[in-house]
Amino acid sequence: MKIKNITIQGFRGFNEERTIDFHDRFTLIYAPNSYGKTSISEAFEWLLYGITSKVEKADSKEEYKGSYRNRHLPESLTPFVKATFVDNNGNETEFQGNLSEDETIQRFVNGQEVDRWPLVQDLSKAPRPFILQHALKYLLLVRPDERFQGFAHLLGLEKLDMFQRNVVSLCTKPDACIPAEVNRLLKNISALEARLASQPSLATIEKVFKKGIAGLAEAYEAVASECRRRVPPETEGESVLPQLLKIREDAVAKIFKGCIALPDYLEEEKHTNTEDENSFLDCIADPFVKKYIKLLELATVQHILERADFFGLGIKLLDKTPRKCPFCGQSLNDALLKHIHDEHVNLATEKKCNEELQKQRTEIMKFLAELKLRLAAYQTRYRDKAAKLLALEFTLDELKTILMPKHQTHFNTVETTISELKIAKNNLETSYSKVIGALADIETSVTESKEDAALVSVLGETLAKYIFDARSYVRVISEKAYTMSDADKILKHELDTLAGTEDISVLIDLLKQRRNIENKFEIKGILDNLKDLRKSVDQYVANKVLEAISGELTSEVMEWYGQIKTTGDPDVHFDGFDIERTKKGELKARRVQIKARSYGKDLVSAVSSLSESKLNVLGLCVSIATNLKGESPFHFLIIDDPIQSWDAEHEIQFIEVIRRLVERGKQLILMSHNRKWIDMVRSGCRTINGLFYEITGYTEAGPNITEIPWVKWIERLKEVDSIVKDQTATSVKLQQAEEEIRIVNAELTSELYFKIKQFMKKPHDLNSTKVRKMLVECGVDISLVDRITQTFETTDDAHHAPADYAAHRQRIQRYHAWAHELAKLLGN
Amino acid sequence: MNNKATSQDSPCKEYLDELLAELSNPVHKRLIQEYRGNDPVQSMESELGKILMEVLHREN
Repeated sequence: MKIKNITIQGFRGFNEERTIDFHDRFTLIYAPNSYGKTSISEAFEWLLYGITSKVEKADSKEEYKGSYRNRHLPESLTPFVKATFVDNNGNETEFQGNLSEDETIQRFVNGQEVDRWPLVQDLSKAPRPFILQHALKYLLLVRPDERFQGFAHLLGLEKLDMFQRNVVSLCTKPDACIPAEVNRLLKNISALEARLASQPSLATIEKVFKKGIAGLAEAYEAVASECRRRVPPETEGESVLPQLLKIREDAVAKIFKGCIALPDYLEEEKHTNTEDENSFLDCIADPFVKKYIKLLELATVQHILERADFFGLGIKLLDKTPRKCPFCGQSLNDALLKHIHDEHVNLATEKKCNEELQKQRTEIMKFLAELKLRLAAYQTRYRDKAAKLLALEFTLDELKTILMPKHQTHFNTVETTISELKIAKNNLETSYSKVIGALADIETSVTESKEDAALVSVLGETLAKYIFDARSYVRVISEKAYTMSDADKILKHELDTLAGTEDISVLIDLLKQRRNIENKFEIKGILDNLKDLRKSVDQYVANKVLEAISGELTSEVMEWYGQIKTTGDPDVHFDGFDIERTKKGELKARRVQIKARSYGKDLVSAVSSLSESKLNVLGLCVSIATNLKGESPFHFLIIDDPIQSWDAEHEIQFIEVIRRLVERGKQLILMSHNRKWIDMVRSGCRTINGLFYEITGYTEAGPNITEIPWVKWIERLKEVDSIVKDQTATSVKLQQAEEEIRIVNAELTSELYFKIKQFMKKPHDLNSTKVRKMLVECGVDISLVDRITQTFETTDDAHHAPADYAAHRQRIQRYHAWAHELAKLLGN
Repeated sequence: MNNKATSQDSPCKEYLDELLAELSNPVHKRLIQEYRGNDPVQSMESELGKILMEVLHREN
């Protein structure tokens, strides 16, 4: 894939839209520094990779924020970079990158938005088609690990390099990945180990413990032995721990009774509490409220039930005195009797319907009873959680004597925790009483058939407040649990010291914590072994990079370096790449070494031995070799200011390298601020031909880019003349002369067309058909048009001679004369 | 234990598969296998946390 042109608007040094066409072989761009030359290479970088290498390498990316957008571009316009690429079959594809407000790139291919460019699967693995001066400095004149990174970048091993750095980071600083629960375990066991170490009587155990998990069984045999020495001889195995606990408790209780431990809620407890709270909240909504509201509706027909009972009794009594009212003795006629019977039947029907009322009441009462029970259990759980600690309120003075002044912070923690918990507990008790009161009111309303919707509302409010207070209570406990755990440990330690039970206390904890100690050893083992993982990854990645830099790359760099290296200067030269090794012969991680030799002797390092010019040459050769080595979708190479700090001789030698690159099929875009050198390149590559641009000035609108003829046609014709006259000129030289004539004719046609038609057509785009058409349009005599067209017949459109080409001096002389004839039409 | 055999979706899969074949420590294998997805570092770090928690909560 080659580049046909690039259009830039509002990006870096470019403000107004500018398009630059590229020759399919070689384009030279000259500009003094700060005229926007590097903005062109940056535009390409950004378009292809979404970031420029300058920003990518920057230590502080913040400093480059907003630097892509040209400050003078009107707000309403979007900065963009657009390039037309041409594949091997001549198909053109337009890539456009729009700069979004968040500085990311929005990609379009032939106007259609895409997520990524339709190139290779992983663009990062292909060598980047850029050789940038600032990149050379990042490659060689840096620390070996940064050089390693630079080489990985150049060789398409960036992701492998990133992987290694990520693994190293994990293996050297795994702390951030250790869950809090694991950290607590590690801390607790470390504290226990410290206590064990402080007990001379338990030195045997401590010694074995140091063996880690391998010595655990032996360590516990020693623990068992020490335990047996401290309990009565007849104590059986299972009773050892309870016996030790009793011995300790008895001894400690003589000094202080009480416990300041405040265990946090376990996940299981939290889950139960949440379930209860959810069920309480359900009460406020469904199904309780619905049932109670239904009860209210049913209660309005209570009087119907009472009347039905009254009529039921009347009908029963009427059976005994059918024609007389059982209540007043009045005689009843048929009509009155029918009325009483009908009324009874109606009321009986309604009564049946309203039996539902009694059923609902029973259900509500049952529901309320269950709720009360659940609330009571919930409240008890909360009350009990801190009961022991709160009971200490009245013995704080005793505690103070033990902890102060040595452990003032811990004593303060205890005091504050008790105070805060007391407030939380009082709030909880008060809200609980209100909930119970609200429940009692509802029960009474049901019992007395005085249902009232306002009571449900009160229950809802009190329940919500109760749950809020319960959660606040949990929060206080959770917040204080950790510091209280520390205070508890300190108190235990102080009590053990005072009671002389420190060793017993350590033995108790060793027995209780066996499982945790095993886990700690295993966790420590996993964390310690991360260094082995790091080593494996280091070796693997170092080997991969070594494979890439030694051998083929080294010889290719040598080959290019050989092109540029001078023969007259001291023999101090590059001698290949390697990875530093340890004394054992293992590869050192991330240490790329550049070797140098002088008069047959190895030098310490090329970086310290080679001159700046030679280092720059080397950097350039590395870039060229890596670019040609990897599989790349790009057949172009952009070289930005390659010859900074170069010796004059290196500058000249490099022109031959340029020729070789073009001859190998690379489309070169070469930029430089050095006009003298650029002219030398044009002269040295005159037969290659190409496009030459000069940035002649820079304004707010952007750079002024002017195309300048590669070589003036008159100079080309003079050169042709001298070749033709030279009887020793080889056929290769004669072929070059014939190519020059063709270039001259294209340039003359372009100039003539512009003179007559005021329209510029680029000479490098012209072929025989176009030349003929343009000359005819300009009114050139058809005989001359035929002759000029004939000059294009011996070479193809790419100036290449066909396989059967044979140089012919007389033919070239004729072509030369016809070109002069065409030139006369321009007034020359 | 995580039984994934390869590092699918990894940013440098072919290298990691080759490295995995060289590693013998199961913990190391699990960590490298997790170097995948949009945030491979986070994925690998959380796997280490998971491994440590498994040790903490294992039955035997």
